[in-house]
Amino acid sequence: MMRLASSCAARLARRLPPRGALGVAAAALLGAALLGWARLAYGAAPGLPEGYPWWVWPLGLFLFTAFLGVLTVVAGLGGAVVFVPFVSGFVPELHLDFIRGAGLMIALAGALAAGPALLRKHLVNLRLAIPVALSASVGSIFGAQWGLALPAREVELALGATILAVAALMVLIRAPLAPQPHRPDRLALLLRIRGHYWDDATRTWSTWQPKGLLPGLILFSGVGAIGGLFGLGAGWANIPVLNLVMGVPLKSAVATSYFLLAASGSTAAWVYLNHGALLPLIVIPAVLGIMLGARLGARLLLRTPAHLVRWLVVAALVLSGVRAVARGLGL
Amino acid sequence: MTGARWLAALLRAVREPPLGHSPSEPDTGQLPDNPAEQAFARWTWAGARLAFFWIGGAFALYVSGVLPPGQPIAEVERQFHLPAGRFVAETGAPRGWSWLQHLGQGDALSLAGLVFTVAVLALAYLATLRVLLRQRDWLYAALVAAQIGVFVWAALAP
Repeated sequence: MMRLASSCAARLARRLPPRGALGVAAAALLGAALLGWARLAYGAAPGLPEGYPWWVWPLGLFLFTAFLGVLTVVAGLGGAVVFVPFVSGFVPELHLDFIRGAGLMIALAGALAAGPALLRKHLVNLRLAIPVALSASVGSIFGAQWGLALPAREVELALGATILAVAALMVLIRAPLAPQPHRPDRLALLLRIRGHYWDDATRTWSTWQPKGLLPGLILFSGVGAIGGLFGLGAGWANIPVLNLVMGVPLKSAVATSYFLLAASGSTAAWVYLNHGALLPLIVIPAVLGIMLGARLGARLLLRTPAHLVRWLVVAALVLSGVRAVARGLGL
Repeated sequence: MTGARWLAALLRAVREPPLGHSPSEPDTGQLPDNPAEQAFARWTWAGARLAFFWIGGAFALYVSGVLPPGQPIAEVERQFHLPAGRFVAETGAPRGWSWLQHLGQGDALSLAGLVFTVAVLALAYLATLRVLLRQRDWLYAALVAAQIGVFVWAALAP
């Protein structure tokens, strides 16, 4: 089924016009039309009106997340960070608990799909990733428990503020920061952490050792807590901490971030599962849609004006962040 | 037949790692592949594929009605505006590990697929632990064991 879906996606991608922007615009229109249809169909009242076909939800979610998958890959973001605020802001029929559960599964599925290839390219260093993932996982348990215990309105307010901060990060950090030469710290030496990776740009092997491992571990427990609390993958926070605080080269930071997403997402997902917050009817179409969209997005990546899509995503984040804050304040 | 071929490919994938230098990378001999990384990559690679097939297949059985759900889809759609706790109370949906008793139902089988997806990482950690113990890398074996402990804690915490 996945193979059939991915081969259809590949065929569709090959047939797209040379200016992939047309494809993105069409997907955007489709997404907007779906959202508009859903709003008209359901109104603001919770629940599904009698006589409505059951397949509206899974099909709508599948198409919407496929569109999100395209957008987020082109914009260089994880799917969950857009999925959670956008769906919670504009689809009030779904409770935030189920949206966050689906967000975690989206982040986990993406990380599981990307992980082995990144290990193969030596971009993930297990000796760094294992202690850092442990710290993030412990944080994510507390975040998830806390998030499921707090009233939805307070979580939504905090989610809105976080999403606006993510949008600000996307605007402010335009170029990747190359780490300055540094001495590895004692803990890194004790754990014998030394990374190598093949850099396609310079066609050489590069070697690196991290610094600031202890502050990094503390920060990652906080990042894990945020991920568990809001059902976000938190790649947007992992990469700056790895790159700026721990001096990990950007390529390795991005790859290691996937490993962390998998570990903290998996831990938090267990908590959501125990509370009955993983609904197959919501999670599975969302996961399958985002995987399909990500494959399509990866093909479109080279043919799409990425800066335009990036601004579109920033606009969507600001819109959904403001909406979440407004809902949190009861406006 | 297709199913048997697919199962054989999956078993081969678990035995043969998707690791090694890609054709564009020179094999300088400076970077011997780390067996712990190999084990981790192998298990996540095979586990993720199995998980995606499982959730796709189980969901098709669920929504097509071939395997009738424990909770009617219309009922789920009527109640999913409620917080998770109230949703479970109103619909009688499974929480924790209670889905294990209803594996013949489409929704429980789909949920089992999600549980397997979540468990893939724990399985990969277990495989890595085995390699680390064989290498007598006690410090990292302890860290990996602690991570598995965290997964178990999260999976069993009320």
